[in-house]
Amino acid sequence: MTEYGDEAAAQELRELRELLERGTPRPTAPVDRMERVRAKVVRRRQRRTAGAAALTLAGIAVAASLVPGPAQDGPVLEPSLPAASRGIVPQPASTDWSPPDVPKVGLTEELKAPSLAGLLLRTPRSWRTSVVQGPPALAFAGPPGTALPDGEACDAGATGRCAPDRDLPAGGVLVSLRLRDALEREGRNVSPGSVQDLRGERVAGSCRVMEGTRELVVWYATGRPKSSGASGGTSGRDGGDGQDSQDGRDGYLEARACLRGPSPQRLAEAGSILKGITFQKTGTPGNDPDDSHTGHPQQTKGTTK
Amino acid sequence: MQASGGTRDDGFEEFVAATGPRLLRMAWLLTGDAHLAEDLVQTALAKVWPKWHRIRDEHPEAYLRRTLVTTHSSWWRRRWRGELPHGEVPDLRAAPDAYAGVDLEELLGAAVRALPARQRAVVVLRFFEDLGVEETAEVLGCTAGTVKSQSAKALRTLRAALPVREECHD
Repeated sequence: MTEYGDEAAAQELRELRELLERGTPRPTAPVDRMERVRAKVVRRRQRRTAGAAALTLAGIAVAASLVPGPAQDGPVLEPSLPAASRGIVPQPASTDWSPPDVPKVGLTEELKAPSLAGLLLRTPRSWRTSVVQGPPALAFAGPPGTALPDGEACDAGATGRCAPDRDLPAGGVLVSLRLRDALEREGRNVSPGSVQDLRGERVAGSCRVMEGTRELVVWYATGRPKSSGASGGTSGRDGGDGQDSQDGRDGYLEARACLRGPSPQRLAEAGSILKGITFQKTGTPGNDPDDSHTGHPQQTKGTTK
Repeated sequence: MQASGGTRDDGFEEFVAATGPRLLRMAWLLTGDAHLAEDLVQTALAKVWPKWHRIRDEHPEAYLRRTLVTTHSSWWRRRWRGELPHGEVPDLRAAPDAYAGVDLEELLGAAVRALPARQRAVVVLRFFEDLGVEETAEVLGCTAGTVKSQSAKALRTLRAALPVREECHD
């Protein structure tokens, strides 16, 4: 630019800027741009989740190969399996959760979800909830500031996975609940209603991709759903109808609270919510067939996939 | 896009609506193709959205612009798009009227596609987005000296292709 001198160079740059401005088209954005972006977010989340799981698998495999021990059947991801049975050095990253020494949390709101075996989820007053009908049906809860996945963010039909459109805020938590097949619990030795406190690499990939650092996990027996919709159930902590399914197996509800750098108070909230899960009898006269949230000023109805 | 739980009241869609048109034009300059430009914009938005709550109060436009450029750079490196710089730039300076009878869009597209990716990014940031040398260097993760040298090379190429200063000065 210097061969023309400063004024000439400046003029040339002005002309170039004008050309760029005039010559660059003004295309219009597709009307469904945000939907496409959302789909990209979900796919990115799923790829990251799959990548994290693969990395964990590889890490465990390497660790298992380095630690002398009994013959192993191969790497197992299930965090609640006794570490010694896998020949892996026991890690203190998974323990039974015990409530922190903080004031008791008031769970004044209720989410009723017949599609989740009659789930009755109690949360603090300010929390929000959502239900994705699926199948499989999914439910979420979180304090203000937490992005709750909705139907469009979920690949529920194919994988049962959802991705919030943003990371957890610092100190945040996302509670997610879903029905699972009893086969997925075989070999696990954690009692129903016992809240597991997972940290470090024990935290599931689906939580880590949200920047989660700690996870509370609990399961409750529900009985096998009799149809694609709600399952039968009775009031009480056992959930389901107490009868074996046709093939002799029960289903269960899995609840996970993914936390990011939680305060003791937040941890207590999450733990209390998981411990406070109960189930209502569904499909009876007078029972609202829709999943609903009661007692909350900003009632949230379920969404459909 | 109706969300349960009220997760869409955080201003991201409004931000996209306000910045999208300019961003799409910038993407067009980087890619030289309308479809690739929209794909680039959507990819950048998908990267930024999950972090929106962290960046929305701290120059989100700059963050998005940087994401757009780095995403395009990664495409370029991976050759996902099979895009290669043209070996030659069509010489249209001989046109009687620089703009008359010339599809300026086509001309500009050919000219920017002829630039290597880094030079193209420098041109877009400096002369379309009007960023300074230091700001451009920050976005591209390089030194100010690199920006200056890449800028000079790019201008030499563009000067040969675009109807800028048709008459030589004395």
